[in-house]
Amino acid sequence: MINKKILFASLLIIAFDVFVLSKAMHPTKSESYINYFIKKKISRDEYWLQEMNGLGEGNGWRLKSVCKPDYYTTDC
Amino acid sequence: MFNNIKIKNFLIPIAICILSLFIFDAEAIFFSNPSQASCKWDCHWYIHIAQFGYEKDTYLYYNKFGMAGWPFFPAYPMLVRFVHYIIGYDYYECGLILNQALLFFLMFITLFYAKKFCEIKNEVILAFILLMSPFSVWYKMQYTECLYGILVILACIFTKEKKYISLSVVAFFLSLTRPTGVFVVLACSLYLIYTCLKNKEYENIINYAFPTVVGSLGVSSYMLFLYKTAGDALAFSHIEISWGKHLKFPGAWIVKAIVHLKKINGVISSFIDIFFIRYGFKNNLHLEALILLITFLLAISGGVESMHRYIMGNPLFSIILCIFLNDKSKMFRKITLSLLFVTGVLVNYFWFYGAKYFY
Repeated sequence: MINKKILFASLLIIAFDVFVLSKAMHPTKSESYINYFIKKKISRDEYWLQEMNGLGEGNGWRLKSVCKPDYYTTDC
Repeated sequence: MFNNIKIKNFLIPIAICILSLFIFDAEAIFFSNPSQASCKWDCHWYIHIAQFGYEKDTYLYYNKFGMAGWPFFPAYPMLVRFVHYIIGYDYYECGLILNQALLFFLMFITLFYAKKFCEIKNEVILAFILLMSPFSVWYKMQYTECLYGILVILACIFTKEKKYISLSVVAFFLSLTRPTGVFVVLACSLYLIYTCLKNKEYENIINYAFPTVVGSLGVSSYMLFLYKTAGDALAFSHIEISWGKHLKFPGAWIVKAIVHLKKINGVISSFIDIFFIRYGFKNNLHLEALILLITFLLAISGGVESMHRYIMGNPLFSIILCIFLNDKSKMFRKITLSLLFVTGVLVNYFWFYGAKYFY
């Protein structure tokens, strides 16, 4: 016999999964930044140099806020 | 679950466990404090997450540029944080103490599982492979292997006993331990559903699919957390590109490594893995081999690095290897176990030294 409680719990969890997946379809910031490596097919080193020189897609927007290269963004 | 357990059967394995930890820690002392000496590569990420939580953004300094701790799932760092809260030691020490304490439990349930469900004849050999071989190094330091191994074996026990509610509880934690965790649970559910169809018990199909649904809840919870923290629910996957990993057809990475003559240790390890997974299927270890096969296919799709760790660092591999050795002559067994012991000691040394000959 089908356990109704299990069925109900499964449906609830699947609804939650669908909600999270819908969020995953619309990232707010980091996804485009990470995918930059893939889209441009460049290495992390090249990307770092481009960003340092303000030539990258982000035009150095994140690095401008950095005090020193070995600091985290959030620390500055 | 653990009825009819005789503690005297575990005395020699416990002695092997203590000896293996003694050798590991004694080798580490030559380099520095064991908790610091054993912490290499991914360990620093886990300890950092335990200490400070997950980053909101990727790092900007050169040697970690574009990286963040998002691919490292939260169960192990949360446990380290909990142990730190209880005993108050340094995070590196807490990670080491936790893993080395969990190692006894891993040994206990692996021997229990192998004896009850895989008909292992000689548990001392299994204990030796599990604890003294080169791939035991992953269980003894601050990596997720020990916790993951315990959860995988528990999942296998509950699958074989058809306890789907207990399996669901394990599934939740397994999916929070490693990205492959939810796929292990999927393998368990598929195994149960297959037996269900075979015995024409169709009413149990939904019950046996439930653990996978609960496993997805673990991943979804972490994804929602990442969405709130990093702004990308799939950041754990997207960030892998910063380690040079991206999805390819499983064989493509092996061909690339052979053509460029790079990461050959990963290629050799992949072929050994394939041999033992096939051996598992041939010897009726269907669930065990299925779990290893799914893990293998997922890992090899992202690159050949760490193939030895993903498969050989899984207690199910030790069980298959033990059964393989049981079929061989006494002399072959002795030579293999001696070689495993010597390479085990060497691998520990190379690990502390930071050399990558075996990794």
